[in-house]
Amino acid sequence: MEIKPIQPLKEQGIFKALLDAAPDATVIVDRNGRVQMVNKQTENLFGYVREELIGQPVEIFIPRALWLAHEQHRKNFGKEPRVRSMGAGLELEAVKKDGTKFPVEISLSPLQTEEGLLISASIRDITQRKKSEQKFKALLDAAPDATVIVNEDGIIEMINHQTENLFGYSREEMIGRPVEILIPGELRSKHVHHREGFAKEARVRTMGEGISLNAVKKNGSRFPVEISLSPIQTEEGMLVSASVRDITLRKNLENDLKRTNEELEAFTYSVSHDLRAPLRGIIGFTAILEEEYSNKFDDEARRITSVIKNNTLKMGHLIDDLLTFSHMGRQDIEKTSVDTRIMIDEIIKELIPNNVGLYIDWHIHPLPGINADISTIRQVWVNFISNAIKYSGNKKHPLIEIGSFHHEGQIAFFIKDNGVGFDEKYKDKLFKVFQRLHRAEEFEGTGIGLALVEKIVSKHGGKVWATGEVDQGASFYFSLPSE
Amino acid sequence: MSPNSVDVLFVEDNISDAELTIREMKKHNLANNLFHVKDGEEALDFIFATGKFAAIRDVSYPPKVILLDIQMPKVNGIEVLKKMKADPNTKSIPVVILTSSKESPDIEKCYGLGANSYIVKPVNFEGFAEAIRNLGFYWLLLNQPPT
Repeated sequence: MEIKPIQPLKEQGIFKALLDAAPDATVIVDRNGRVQMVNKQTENLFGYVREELIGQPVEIFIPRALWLAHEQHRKNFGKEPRVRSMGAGLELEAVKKDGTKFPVEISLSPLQTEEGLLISASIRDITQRKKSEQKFKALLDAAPDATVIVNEDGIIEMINHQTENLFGYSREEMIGRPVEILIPGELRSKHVHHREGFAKEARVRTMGEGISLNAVKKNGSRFPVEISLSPIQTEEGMLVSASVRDITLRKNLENDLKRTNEELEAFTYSVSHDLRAPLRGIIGFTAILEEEYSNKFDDEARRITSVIKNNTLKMGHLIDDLLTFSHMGRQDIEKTSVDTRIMIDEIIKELIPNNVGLYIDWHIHPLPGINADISTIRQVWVNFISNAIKYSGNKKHPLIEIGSFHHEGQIAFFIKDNGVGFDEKYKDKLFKVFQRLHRAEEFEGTGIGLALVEKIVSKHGGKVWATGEVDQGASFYFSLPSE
Repeated sequence: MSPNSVDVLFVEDNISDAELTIREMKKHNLANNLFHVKDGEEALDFIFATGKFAAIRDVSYPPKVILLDIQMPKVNGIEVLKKMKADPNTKSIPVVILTSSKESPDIEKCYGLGANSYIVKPVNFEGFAEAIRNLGFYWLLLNQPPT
């Protein structure tokens, strides 16, 4: 097939067709800034007809206040014509025939023609985009936390009001600067590294899980924060949105609570400690009365000394348990691997020496090993097992079952007996200090055992609970993290 | 009893504890040469033959054992222990800490300062009596003191 050169006339026709087919309003201007050509979209967008525009200065599209400046820019472009967007970084506005202004984005291309340099300007109405941007900004400002949006290079692209308030920088002082300005100096280089790591494996997550994070204000002061990160995929690449929450208040409260607890534990310790000495006196001298003077006593006097002795013994147990309880609060747990079955066998052997307890029917299922603080977890088992023995002891055929199962991502154990059980109405009291569901003459106890168990298990990150029915037995459960 | 023939120096500020201890020792004939002082200051004067003991005691006749309480007014047991274990003339006298304190820092501290034994006084009488009896037999009859 023979290729014919396209007729200049035809060329012009194609050019016009192309122009009209362009999605954006296109205005072609000569080097004096006179409109030479416009497409249909220009007519639609600005509300003029073609004839009203041809030959007019291009400033017809521009707010009056900017005419002079635009003329100057236009001349500069003429000196160094190249394809570029107009007013990069600025918010541009155009004016319709009826005077309404609207936001636009404009790109410029020089066209070298026989008649000299022409400039083609593509004008895009970005009203819709601005609206959604504004919505986004409003949303951002409505967020309760300071939100900082950072690009892939760690440069701050967007922030909300809360960020200005929290950090003391103005918007202008933050936009375009590396996010590391908000991070303590000694951690900045490390943060750059973490940031790059996040970009490789972007997902919604909290920053520095398990670590105390601090941020730095403009005035250099530091404060504790909690930060969550979310990647946002955009046309310009990935952005990361960081929600920064000031947790100073919470940290202070936590510290106060910790201090109060420590004081309380120290107080409990010293009180119970100091109570022991006078108690030893009462016990000792009562014992002397009993041993050396009982032949001079009548039955009532002997009964009374034995009442004193029993009460002091009870008080002694109470003080010892309180000491253990307060000691537990101050003790750190050290996890090692524990063979549950071996531990339980040892405890049973200890609690029921020789053949005294042979009448108890033990059902022990296979039990998993765990990672726990061996001495305190032992205490948990001792308390549960001795309770099961104590409260099922008056049954004809005492039955104690021990097993395990998975529960909410943790390993749970149960100790079930067929003893006196308890009324579920009172189950909230079971694990509280000094709360008892049985009178002392029915079953001995100080009301500290299960409170201690609860404390130990919660220190391990687990939970305790129980079910039961009067005279139908009780089941006690505790769960521990599987790690 | 002459201060130079003391076998047991008993340092205890609580009069009830002291009475019960001495009573138990007497029961087993262990209190014949027991001398009771009621605080740390008095204990130091006895051990170093100073103050009111300056004229009547000779440091070359040490007791076979010192039973030492920790919590006492003025000078506490740990200070007494520190001073006597730092002095070459008195450091080899065996010291038994006899206290209510189960606090582990106290235990560590006492052994670190050279205590020879650490006994927590049981609250119940049987346990208490047994502890006193045993330590009396051990330190007065069984143990060979430095010569």
